[in-house]
Amino acid sequence: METISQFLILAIIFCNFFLLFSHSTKRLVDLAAIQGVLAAFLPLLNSREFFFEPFIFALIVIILKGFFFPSILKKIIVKNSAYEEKRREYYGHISWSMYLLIFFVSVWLSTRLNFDVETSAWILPASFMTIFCGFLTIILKSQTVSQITGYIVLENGIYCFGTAIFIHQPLMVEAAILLDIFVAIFVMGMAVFHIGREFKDSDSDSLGELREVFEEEAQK
Amino acid sequence: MISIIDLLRDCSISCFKEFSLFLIIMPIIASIICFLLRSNSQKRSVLFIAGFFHFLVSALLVFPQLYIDNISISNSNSLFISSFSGNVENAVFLMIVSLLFLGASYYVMGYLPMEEKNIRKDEEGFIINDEPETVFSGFMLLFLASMTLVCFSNHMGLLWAAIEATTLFSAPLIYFHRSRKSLEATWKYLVVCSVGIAIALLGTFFLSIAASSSGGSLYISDLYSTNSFNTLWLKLAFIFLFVGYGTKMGLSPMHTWLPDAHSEAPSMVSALLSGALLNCAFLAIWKSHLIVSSAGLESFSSSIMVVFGIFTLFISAVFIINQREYKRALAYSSVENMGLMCLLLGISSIAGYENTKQFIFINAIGHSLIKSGMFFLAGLVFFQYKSKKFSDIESMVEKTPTMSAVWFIGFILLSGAPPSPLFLPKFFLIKAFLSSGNYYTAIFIILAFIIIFGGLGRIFFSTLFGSKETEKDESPQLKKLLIPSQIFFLSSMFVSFLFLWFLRG
Repeated sequence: METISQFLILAIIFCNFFLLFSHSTKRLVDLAAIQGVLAAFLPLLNSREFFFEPFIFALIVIILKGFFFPSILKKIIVKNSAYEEKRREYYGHISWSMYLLIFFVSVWLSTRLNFDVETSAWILPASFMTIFCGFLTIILKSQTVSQITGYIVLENGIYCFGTAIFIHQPLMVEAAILLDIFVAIFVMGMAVFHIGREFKDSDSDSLGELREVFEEEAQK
Repeated sequence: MISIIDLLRDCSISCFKEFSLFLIIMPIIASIICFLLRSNSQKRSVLFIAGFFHFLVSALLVFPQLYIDNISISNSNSLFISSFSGNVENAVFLMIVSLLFLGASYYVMGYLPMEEKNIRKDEEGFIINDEPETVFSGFMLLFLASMTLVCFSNHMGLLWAAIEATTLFSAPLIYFHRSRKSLEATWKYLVVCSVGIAIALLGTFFLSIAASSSGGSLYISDLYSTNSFNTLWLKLAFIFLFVGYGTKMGLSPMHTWLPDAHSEAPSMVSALLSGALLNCAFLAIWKSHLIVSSAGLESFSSSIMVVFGIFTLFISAVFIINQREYKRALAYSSVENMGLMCLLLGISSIAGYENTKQFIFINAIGHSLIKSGMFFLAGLVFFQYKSKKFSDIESMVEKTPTMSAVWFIGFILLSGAPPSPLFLPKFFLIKAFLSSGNYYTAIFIILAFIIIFGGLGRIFFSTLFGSKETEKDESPQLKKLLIPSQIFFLSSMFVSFLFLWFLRG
């Protein structure tokens, strides 16, 4: 079981790598979906006994992250013709250096925090890396769909972290958290759909009408 | 008198669970009704009725327990707080949410029919095509339910879920006018707040690790009484919770969503965002601070809050002075007040917690009442003068004398000049810094207050007077919509006098 979970963690780390380098929005969505499904398997592999509740939760997570979110996002991509990222300057040596930076920062953080993880030792760095990659995706990618994908990746990282520390909260709380994430993606998806319709482009760089006075003056 | 209050108190304690569930479930049922109804006037009526009953039950639940404050939390392992008497902060914030929603629902009944009749265009010339009222009323009620849940949560995970739900239910409300700007504001709000709240979720997990030696329970009442925290993880947890909920609260530099959302949302939504929602996020920070304080790390959380509070004051002063739009200026005033509340909580370690708590309450109540009243007014000003820029508005005194009088009173109260309830916390803050020997900080804060006063004054006075000769144009309908603002302003002054009387007693 431990070998499988280590393999899954390694796959999650690789997903992060491809996420930063990919400029196809559809590929980004697929990578986030794969990562979400891989993360959903982790708690099942880590528990020594079979519990019905985590199994059902993992199943819901797999359905949401593996099928529901990608189908919504891909529909939006097609509707808005948002297939490619425009900020090409971030692909190449900047992505390489950032990837290496977050890799080393994540490993350093995990060693500094000195937390005794019962599962694989790499789960903590992997979850930190995923969180950082989610942030970077939101900041660096310009397509609004990619930013939603970044949010999903960020959430995948937090989910991995939760798995690492075996947090068992009341069912109602876990359900509420899951429901919130589901609604968040749905509402964000709706917003992106409207952005594409209103601006004829779903790139976040086209959203620049709300500015402060000094920003307007700087542009002039 | 006492016996009636005793009776009400006993009733509210024995039916606490039923009442609290009613306050959360009733708005959800009302929102479903709104989604099913066809007539807009019926939807507005449902909104008002739900707001009225929410206020009534909240008052029944809160006041008797606040009056006699001698009951502690009886059932600690409940997801909901089992009594308000040990959690005065929850009770106060619930009352604020409820009162503001009642005012907003009254305002909606008059404002939306007015907007329906007048087809408006935005600055680019596009016709503003408002969202269907089904969506608006439904999400307003869901927003109320989620804010109520924040006030009742006794679990850090549930608190997180409730705060995230407030973001999701308020986002469609910001997009009510369906303009390009409102869409942009909605997107920024969604992304910035969702990411912020995700950081808070990570902080919640850190908190669980910090308390792992005592079972890792995230029940707030358990966390208050936990003795063995892992200090490093607890510090990390507080930083993440503070940044996460601070984003939602509008603390600088995470405030970027706030001016856009407040200025582009319809006025009743801006009022709720500013007066109720920001307080909910503050409540989460307050609880996090109390948990950290119970572990003996009060100075750590206090110092973070003081630094962010001062920086927030500085940023709001800089942006208010450069403002062209009155709604944005009001939004930055909210940023200022959130900074002030954060500072007040931060200085509780030097000024005494119980003492500071009273001033936080007075600031929260005062700011919520005054700011929501001002946003209601801003909506009417926009409706009457068709512009958000204050340079386009002049001679309000001649054109709309009643409205200008309320507008002026609102400015006086908002600027923190006596008899505003916002004067007392500012005075207390400066006094606390001076008495602790932090003279430079005190001078800096005084300067920030002066700049903010000047910035707001520039906006309000230029709208009130002008060289243009205009005729009086103030409809009775408009005057009717001034009532919530008038009541809120009067209530804020009453609260101020009540507080002074309480302090003297």
